[in-house]
Amino acid sequence: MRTVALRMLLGDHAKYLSLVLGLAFASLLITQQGSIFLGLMLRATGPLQNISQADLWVTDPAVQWISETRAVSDDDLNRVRSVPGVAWAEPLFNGRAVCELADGKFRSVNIVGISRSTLVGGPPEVLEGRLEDLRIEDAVFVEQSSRAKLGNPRIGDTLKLNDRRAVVVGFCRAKAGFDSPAVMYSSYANAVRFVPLGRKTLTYILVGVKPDAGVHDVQRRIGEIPGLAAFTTDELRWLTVGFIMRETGIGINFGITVLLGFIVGIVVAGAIFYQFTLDNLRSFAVLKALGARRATLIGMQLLQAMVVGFMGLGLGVGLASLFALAGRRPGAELAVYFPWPLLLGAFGAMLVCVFAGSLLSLQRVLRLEPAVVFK
Amino acid sequence: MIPPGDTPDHAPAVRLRGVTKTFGRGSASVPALRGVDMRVEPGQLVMLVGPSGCGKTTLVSIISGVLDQDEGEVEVYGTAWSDLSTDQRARRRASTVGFVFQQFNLLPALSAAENVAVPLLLQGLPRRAAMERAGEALRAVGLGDRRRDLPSRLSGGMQQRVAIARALVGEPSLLVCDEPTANLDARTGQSVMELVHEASHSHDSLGRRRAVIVVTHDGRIFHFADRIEEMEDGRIKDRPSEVVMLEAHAHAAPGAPGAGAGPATLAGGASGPTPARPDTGGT
Repeated sequence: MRTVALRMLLGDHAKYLSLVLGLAFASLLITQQGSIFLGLMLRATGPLQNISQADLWVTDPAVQWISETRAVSDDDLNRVRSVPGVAWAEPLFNGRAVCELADGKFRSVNIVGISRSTLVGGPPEVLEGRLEDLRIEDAVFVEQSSRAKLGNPRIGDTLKLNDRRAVVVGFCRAKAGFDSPAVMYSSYANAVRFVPLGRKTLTYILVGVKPDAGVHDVQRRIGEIPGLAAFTTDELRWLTVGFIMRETGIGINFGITVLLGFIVGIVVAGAIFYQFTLDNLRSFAVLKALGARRATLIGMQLLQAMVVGFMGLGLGVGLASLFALAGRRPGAELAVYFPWPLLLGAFGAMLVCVFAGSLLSLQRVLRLEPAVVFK
Repeated sequence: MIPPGDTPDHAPAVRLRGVTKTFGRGSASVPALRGVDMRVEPGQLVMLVGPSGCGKTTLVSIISGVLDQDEGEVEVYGTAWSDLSTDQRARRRASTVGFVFQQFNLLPALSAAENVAVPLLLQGLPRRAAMERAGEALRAVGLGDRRRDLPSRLSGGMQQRVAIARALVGEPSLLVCDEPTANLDARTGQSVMELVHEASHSHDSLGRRRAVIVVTHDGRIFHFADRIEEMEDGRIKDRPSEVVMLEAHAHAAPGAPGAGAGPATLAGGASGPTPARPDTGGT
């Protein structure tokens, strides 16, 4: 009876199209808004993704998210290094500078300062140049997607950062932060010169734990040092996500749009499916009279729901992907992220939409008196 | 309940005892059937006639198991519908009852062959086998070359032939036709009735002779009946009225199907369809 169910569904082109387009729109809303939300979350935690070597990130205990910290002192670095179980501890600087452009404009630049000796915390991928050149006085690596923002500098070019000379020695690929400024890497010492702060200049202390020491034990021990707290990458990620959701309203706003998509999906599926069922009521009555059992009719309706759900989802996700592609511009890419759980979630939402939407129709079909075939 | 002597193998095709049905409640209630007794034997073609609203359609709905009676017993080939659950009833309808409707009731999105195959698919036959048998059934009603056509591309007569093929493809024991000629011209109606009449002389999948019940207003087809039952106000009359008998005789042209085979062989020596009273099983 699968073919019969599909023929009944596809036979009414207008309703079939309305159903699929309605669900595609709902699916577009859910996946597009969901992917932008996840993209923003991914971007917000970008600095965390750039650094894979550290087991622990040490900073002020009051930190709320990755990009907003209270600096700690060089003494703290030494204290951390002396904690049992710590294999290594390296400084990381993160600060903002203003970069003067050749056309007289300026851009805000995120300067990441890494240990000059070990280069721990460096960019995940070097595209041009040698990372070791960061040890040169005033040397900087420019993140690839920031290149256009900074007037397309080349290796050897000189930039002006906070009125100080900076020399481009290479290009790298790294994730920007939540507000996606231009990103540059420099040695810790250079970075502190570019962005002079107060007495305390360390943004984070990156810590590697000895293989035979437990991460959580070391984390606890570091936490016992006054004015310091150690976070695993996961903890800092969720701290950041939680902060952005809570403080920026992004979670609620995107959540509302996703919910709207969900509601639109249920309403569209429900209304059109119901109308579709009403139009086919006689056919269902005939099937019942001819001997269709409840399970057969339920199976037919669920199959119809699944088909339109799949079609709508496919179209919606396709459109969302097109939006993402259309939004790709060097240096200003739309923050979108389509992980498989999002697609699975959208699929689940779509199934709920079509099944909830078809419940009313199903009830109507199951309650239908087959005797109406004689009327 | 099967009376002594009516084993399932020898049970009447249809037995009704004291069947009542009322639609609505309270002051708005309308009694449609007021205690109907009837018996149809295997191989019989019985016509139910009577004015609109007399309860014919309600009666055949109850006989075919698509509507529940309020009181009384309804048995089809020895099985009471009331003894079956909803799903058992659906399964039995699929295997036992064939339907031909006034409005044809073909599924508009399905081709002629697919429409005919539906009862077989409902019985669980694989699609390929069902389609093959549907093709044969369509050839049997003269529509072998229209199997791929949608109902909208077929004339009324053709659609009714497809409906007859659909009704017979599962080799049901009982064929129920509701005004099968109402939407057809005289000639097409006659050819459709020839197919229905032929069905009453064939057998079901178990080798039992098939019974046919036809609800009609159309006096031009009365002569196909082995027996005519006239209904009035929710009851079956003791004898059909003179008007009905006259109509039956008037259209029973010599040599026409039913004119010889049917009426002439009926009890009482009448030269037309006989108003044989049902044996109600001793009630």
